[in-house]
Amino acid sequence: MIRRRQLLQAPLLLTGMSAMPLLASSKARVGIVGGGFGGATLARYLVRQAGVSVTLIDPVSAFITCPFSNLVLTGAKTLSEITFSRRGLIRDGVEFIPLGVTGIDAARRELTLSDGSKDRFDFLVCAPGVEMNYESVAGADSAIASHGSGHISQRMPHAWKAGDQTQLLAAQLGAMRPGGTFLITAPPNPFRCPPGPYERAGLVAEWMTHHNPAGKVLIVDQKDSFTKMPLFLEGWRKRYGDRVEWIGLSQTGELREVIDGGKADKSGKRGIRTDFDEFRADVVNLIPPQRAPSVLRDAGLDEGRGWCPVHPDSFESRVASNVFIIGDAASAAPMPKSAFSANNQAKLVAAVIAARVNGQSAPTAWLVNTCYSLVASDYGISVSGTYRARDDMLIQTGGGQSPTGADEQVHQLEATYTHGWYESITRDSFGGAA
Amino acid sequence: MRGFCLLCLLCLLWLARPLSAAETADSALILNSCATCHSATAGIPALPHHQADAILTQLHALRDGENTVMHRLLADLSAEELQAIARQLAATP
Ligand SMILES: Cc1cc2nc3c(=O)[nH]c(=O)nc-3n(C[C@H](O)[C@H](O)[C@H](O)COP(=O)(O)OP(=O)(O)OC[C@H]3O[C@@H](n4cnc5c(N)ncnc54)[C@H](O)[C@@H]3O)c2cc1C
Repeated sequence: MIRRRQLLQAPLLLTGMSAMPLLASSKARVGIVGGGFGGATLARYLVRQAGVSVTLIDPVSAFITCPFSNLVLTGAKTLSEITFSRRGLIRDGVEFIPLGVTGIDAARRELTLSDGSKDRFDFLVCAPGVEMNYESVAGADSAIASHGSGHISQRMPHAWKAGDQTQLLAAQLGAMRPGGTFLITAPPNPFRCPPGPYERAGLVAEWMTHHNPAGKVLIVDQKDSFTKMPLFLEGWRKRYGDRVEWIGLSQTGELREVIDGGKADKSGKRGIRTDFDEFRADVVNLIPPQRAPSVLRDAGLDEGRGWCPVHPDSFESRVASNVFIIGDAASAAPMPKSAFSANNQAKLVAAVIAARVNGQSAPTAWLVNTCYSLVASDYGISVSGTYRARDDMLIQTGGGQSPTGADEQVHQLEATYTHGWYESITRDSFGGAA
Repeated sequence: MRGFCLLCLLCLLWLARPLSAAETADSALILNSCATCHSATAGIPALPHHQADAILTQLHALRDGENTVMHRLLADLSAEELQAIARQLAATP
């Protein structure tokens, strides 16, 4: 199939203006799968480099950020305030194709798009984010079958991809009876945004102090500890007393089953069963385990392990050369799966590809992450890490967390930084305001 | 005291030395990381673009100061890396 670009070039070649199109076609072509924090940042940083043409493929024309979607949940922000168009990227010179990628031939660096067309690239960068994995949640499939009322995520929203899911969970929270329980199941590591479930717990608790004063937030965790744990526990205690309760893995065991009475259940209560307990709640925010999207796994880029292994000095796939994986889909521990990490890995890959195209030596990888979280809208905490590649492994070489026992002023400042961070990273990644 | 002055002089000379291509590429990559948080117009202070030695003093103060995000991020960077960053920041408009 002939792609649009070739069609556009053909008449120019015929009219003797060969210099321009020949120059254009001699550029190295970079194809990017997914234009979230990783893919969009990469496109913006790479398109500034000489000698490359950048094509970004994503079916989503208006990208809704997960960061700050917890504030949409509680009504402090609107969805449109966290939605970014592709205008900034297109202005920068990125070719944006609003289609999905349905197949990847990693060895040939060839993509199949949802319109059936195929396209080959000199470099491929994959940044499609994560896929929710319900296979491991018993009862999820049978619940779908017995009610025939759509996917389990319609009744127990994950809200771990921002948009409809966020609105659904927000509506359930708003409709909750006075004194009801909001249950969050937090997934096992690794997953998108390690502090995310706990930020959500605090912001929902803050919302309750105004709108549902007897309401409770219960977190049933598939881990025994979590990031910034002492800071979250301290903040919750200070701000919400015992409104927020956290139960860890060794206390309750593994999540075994989803109890989804649906409309037929008279109590109207849903819940979950773990090894040792049964929890019923008015709203269940089931955040399932996660993995790299099927488009990468079907291409063998995860080596059957769920996440895609990369060389840490370049984020080049361990499976195919000149194919790079960045963001949540990559296996990049100890870097967390965050928007900051995706944005940062994109800058490394942009520099690596530019160096290869221009015959220069690759830059030294120095990677960085900071995750700000809100315990309350005026109470921020943070964790930072710096990373270097050593012996083909990624090592954390620096970083740390905000101090515990700090003054309110410290947390107020970190809340201000959280908002500054959001404004800044979205500008850096998408090239403009929402 | 004289030793200290000599050290300062050496530092200044080091700061005036041109960066190699590899150093430039490496510190450009680090500077790109700064842009993640420092591209906003509010909330987080903008990056400084004055004299390299003043920026270097500022970076050292942040690195060796109280527990802030910048303290934690800069702790991992060597004196040479901080110098390269300061010089590149000063050179960028
Ligand atoms: C509630 C919540 C709060 C969060 N808060 C923070 C925070 O405060 N700070 C932070 O750093 N991180 C935060 N995160 C994490 C952050 O959202 C992710 O880590 C980040 O989005 C990962 O970037 P990515 O580029 O890998 O994927 P994404 O940003 O998800 O982008 C993936 C893109 O790929 C596209 N795509 C998927 N499949 C295909 C396909 N087959 N073909 C083409 N395109 C495809 C999608 O449409 C999407 O646009 C939060 C996450 C959640 C859920």
